[in-house]
Amino acid sequence: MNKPVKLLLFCVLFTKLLSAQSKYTISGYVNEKGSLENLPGVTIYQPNTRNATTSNIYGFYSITLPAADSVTLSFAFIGFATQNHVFKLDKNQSFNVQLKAQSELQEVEVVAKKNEPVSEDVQMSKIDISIEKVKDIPALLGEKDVMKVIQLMPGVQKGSEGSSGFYVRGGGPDQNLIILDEATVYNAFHLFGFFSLFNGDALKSVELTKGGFPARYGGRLSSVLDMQMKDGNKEKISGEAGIGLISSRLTLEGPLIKNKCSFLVSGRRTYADALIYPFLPSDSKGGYYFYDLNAKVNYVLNDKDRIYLSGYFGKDKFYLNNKNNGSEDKVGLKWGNATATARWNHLFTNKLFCNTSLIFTDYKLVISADEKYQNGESFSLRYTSGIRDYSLKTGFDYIPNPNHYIKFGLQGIYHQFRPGALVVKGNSFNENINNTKLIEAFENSVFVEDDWKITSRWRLNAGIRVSNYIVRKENYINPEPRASLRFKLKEDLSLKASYAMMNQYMHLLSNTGIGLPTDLWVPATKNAPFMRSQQVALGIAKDFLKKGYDISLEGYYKKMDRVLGYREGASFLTVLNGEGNEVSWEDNVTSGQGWSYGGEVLIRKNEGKFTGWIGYTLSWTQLQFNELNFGKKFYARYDRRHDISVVGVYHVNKRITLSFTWVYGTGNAITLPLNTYNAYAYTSPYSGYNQGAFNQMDVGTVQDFGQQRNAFRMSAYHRLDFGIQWHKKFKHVERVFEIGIYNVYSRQNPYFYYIETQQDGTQKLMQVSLFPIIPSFTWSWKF
Amino acid sequence: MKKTILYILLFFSLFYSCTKEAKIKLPPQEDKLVVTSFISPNDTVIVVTVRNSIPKFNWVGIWGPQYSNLTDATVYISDGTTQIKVPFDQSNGMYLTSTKNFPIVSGKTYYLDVSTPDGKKASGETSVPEGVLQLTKFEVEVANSNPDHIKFNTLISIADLPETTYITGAFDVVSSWDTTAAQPSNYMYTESNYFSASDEFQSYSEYLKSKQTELYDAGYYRYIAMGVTLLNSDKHFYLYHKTIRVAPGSGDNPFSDPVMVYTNINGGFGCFGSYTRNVYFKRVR
Repeated sequence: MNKPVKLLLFCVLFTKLLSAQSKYTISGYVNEKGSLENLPGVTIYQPNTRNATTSNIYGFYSITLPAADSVTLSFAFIGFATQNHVFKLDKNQSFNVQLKAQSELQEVEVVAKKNEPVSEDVQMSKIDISIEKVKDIPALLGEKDVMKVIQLMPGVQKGSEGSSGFYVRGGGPDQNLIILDEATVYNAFHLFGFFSLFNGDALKSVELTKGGFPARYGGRLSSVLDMQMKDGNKEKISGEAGIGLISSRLTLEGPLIKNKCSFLVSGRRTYADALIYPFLPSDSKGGYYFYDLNAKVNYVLNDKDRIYLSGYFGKDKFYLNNKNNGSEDKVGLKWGNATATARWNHLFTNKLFCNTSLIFTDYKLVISADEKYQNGESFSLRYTSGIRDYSLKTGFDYIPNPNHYIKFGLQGIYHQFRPGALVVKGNSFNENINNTKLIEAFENSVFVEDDWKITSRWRLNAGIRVSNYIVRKENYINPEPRASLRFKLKEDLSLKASYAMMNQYMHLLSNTGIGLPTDLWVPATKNAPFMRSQQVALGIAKDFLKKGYDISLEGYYKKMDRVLGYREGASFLTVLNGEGNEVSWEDNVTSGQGWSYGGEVLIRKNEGKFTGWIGYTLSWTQLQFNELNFGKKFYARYDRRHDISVVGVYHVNKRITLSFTWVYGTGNAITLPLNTYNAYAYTSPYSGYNQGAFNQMDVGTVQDFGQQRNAFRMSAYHRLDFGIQWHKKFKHVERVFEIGIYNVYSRQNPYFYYIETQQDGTQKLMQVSLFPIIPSFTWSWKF
Repeated sequence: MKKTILYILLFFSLFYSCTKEAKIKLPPQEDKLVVTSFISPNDTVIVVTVRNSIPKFNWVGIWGPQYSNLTDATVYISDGTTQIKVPFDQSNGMYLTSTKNFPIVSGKTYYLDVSTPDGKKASGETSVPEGVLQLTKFEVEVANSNPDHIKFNTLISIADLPETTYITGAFDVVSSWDTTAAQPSNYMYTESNYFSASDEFQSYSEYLKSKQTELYDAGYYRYIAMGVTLLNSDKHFYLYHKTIRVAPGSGDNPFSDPVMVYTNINGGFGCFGSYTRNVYFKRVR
């Protein structure tokens, strides 16, 4: 090594040594005062500098600053009073903070600042949903639903009337990664899609990402809905309870060991079946119910180690039993999700945080029919399908200084797909088993990302995720680059841009798109290849901090490759193809490509007596499959040109809260027959029908759809909901009574269309609507 | 009790639905001609069928005649230089003429023009493919020995033609009383299973196809053979048959997407297509 190089190395090392010696780290956890609930997303910043960081989803923060006699740090979070703390920074320090909820400070006005102004955040296309806000917004039958509130955001569209399913920037409902405490939830719906699984009382945070995905997320093309359950109150027993028209719920949380170990149990069940049961005839009983159970235990082992165990278990069941003159038949449909997550937080150093999770998730559908006849014969049918995952995930947060926040980690998922198994038994025939084989697949990934504050104006989140997928001895490795960039034009005005590539290694087979339990998760295979999306987005964000509102404008362009569609005429019920051969699900599908582009506007008012938002989306979504629509492009069923949401919550005084939502959406694209005719097709000269005479024969009636798929539009959708809440505080309990009105002006929105033949032989296109004006009443208590 | 009734009423209001006539903009309703003709150098007749379609909505008309073949249409076929009128054949209810009057030749393009007294017009064109498809493999395995219930496993391999793009065909189980015929002539029973070669075939040198078929009551027949019909067809014939084989009845399944039936008839529906044909038989009894 020559002399100048040695000198340079010495200088670099010496400078590093000097700078290392002169910097110290303050780290710790941010909790809610009173419950010690971990608070994710809290902004920790040094006022009048650009030194800032945020707490991670476990409430951990770390900030490294130059030594000083006096350093002030501010801890700010939405819904909580900001705290300032002064430190003498001459050594590394551990400092835990407890923030007071704003409800303890002021009872009417929402006063807290947002955790991080939209113009500051490098991440674009991300929406944080406040659980308190979810509880303020009126809902169908009073059932507060996180996913219905998500549908009110720009770029997110609902599928059909009342459905909890959502479509993000032109992606199908299968392209949303829904995770609860890191466990994937495959079917997130109750009651055939009308309600979601997620009980707001058990949730702590909800975050939806529509684009500009950080490298830590992967596995779906269009969105990530990341939900965290509450940890449970570590100081005292508390809870919430509610009685509604169709369900009741109860949540209990409290310490098992004060300030060290806590639990949370939350349950919900519908009772319509129990109410109507006495009125049903004794020989014909039926009903429907669903229930949810959330449970969590967390334990602080020491300053460096914490353990969390959480789980969800929910089930829907529809049943019908008939008895008649010695014969009996039973029909059942049940489906359910179960998830379990075990997590271990470990602090290697005050700059390096690690979480390791062991995750289990399971979804199962069972359709059953049993018949017993008078003559003693019997028949039974069982159809089951499902998916089960075992996953191990390790993630690290490394915060070397306020300008860098590095996340890296790896995950391995072992998928077990059971696309469908049918068992038919009966006295009069042999057992008939049609077992679709279990398909195993491995989905692995490694990622690294850095949130880098380059200058006071420029901030970059860049990362890469490398995903690996193994199925049927096929092995795929795909790098997925990600980048989000922010440039500050002014203190409260910034420009943003992002790019993300995503790969998805599974498909949801669904003809309806409304979240029916029969929707089937299947693995990507050679015949149904994995999907890929690339999305670019540009945006501008402006905060009006003094007035308490912010505006974001975003434009996006998303290209989707190898998206899956059903072949024409095929459905999940199809078992024979046009040639009379048995088909598997892989024969029923075809892959194509999609494009989605558009613009979104979101204006939010976060403070004051009146809060709410206005969202508007202008978008186009088109698909193209070689096998469909003669290879021509067509609009997706959920293509929606205009989508508007207006949400308002008005805190009249400390006792009364008024709220409303109004939504408007262009009608879904549909295909309608315009002509019908009897068609001829080629016939073999040796056909029994033809006897060699002619080469064509009548094959029956077919329909013409104007030679273009999805060329028509349903009527536009719009609806106004209204809610009023009366709050009353007793010594230990706060009671809320709510009256809600869904669809105030009773708009008949289209649910589906069908063709009805009239008495004179003419045919008319008929529209079916659900849910006219529906009032609801809910009582809830917090103690 | 009042509370219970209120609850029940509210529960049922959940499943309340309202049905009314949809108010969305639809194009003008009109009936069109449905014209079907498949021509081949291997056939002895040219057959054209002409029907009317029925507009789907708010159509006030008589149902029966629209589904019957039209008898008063004027049908012309030409090869660009020669044109003949195809007469209506009362006994068969079709427009037909012998290929002796108008030969069909591989490589040539043909035009079909149809008009009706009420002013409707429809037309189409097709180019007859060149070359006949050949089998390079034809294996028939009788899978069980029950004389009354025969199962066939048939495996064929079709040699690709340089110009071949579109292949359709049929597996025919042919059975007869006639024990003397070398080729089937007096058919008692046949069953056809049609197929279309997948698009991937375009890039492969051969196309393999296997088929399982069954023949019940096989004990009645003295002659049983497996037949394979191979059609080297034009694009219109191929695309039309790919959709028409699955379209009828597909609208009855509310969970399936509609089948868009291909047409190359200008001003109407149906297909004017062409093919060359080759037929193979393998006698198993």
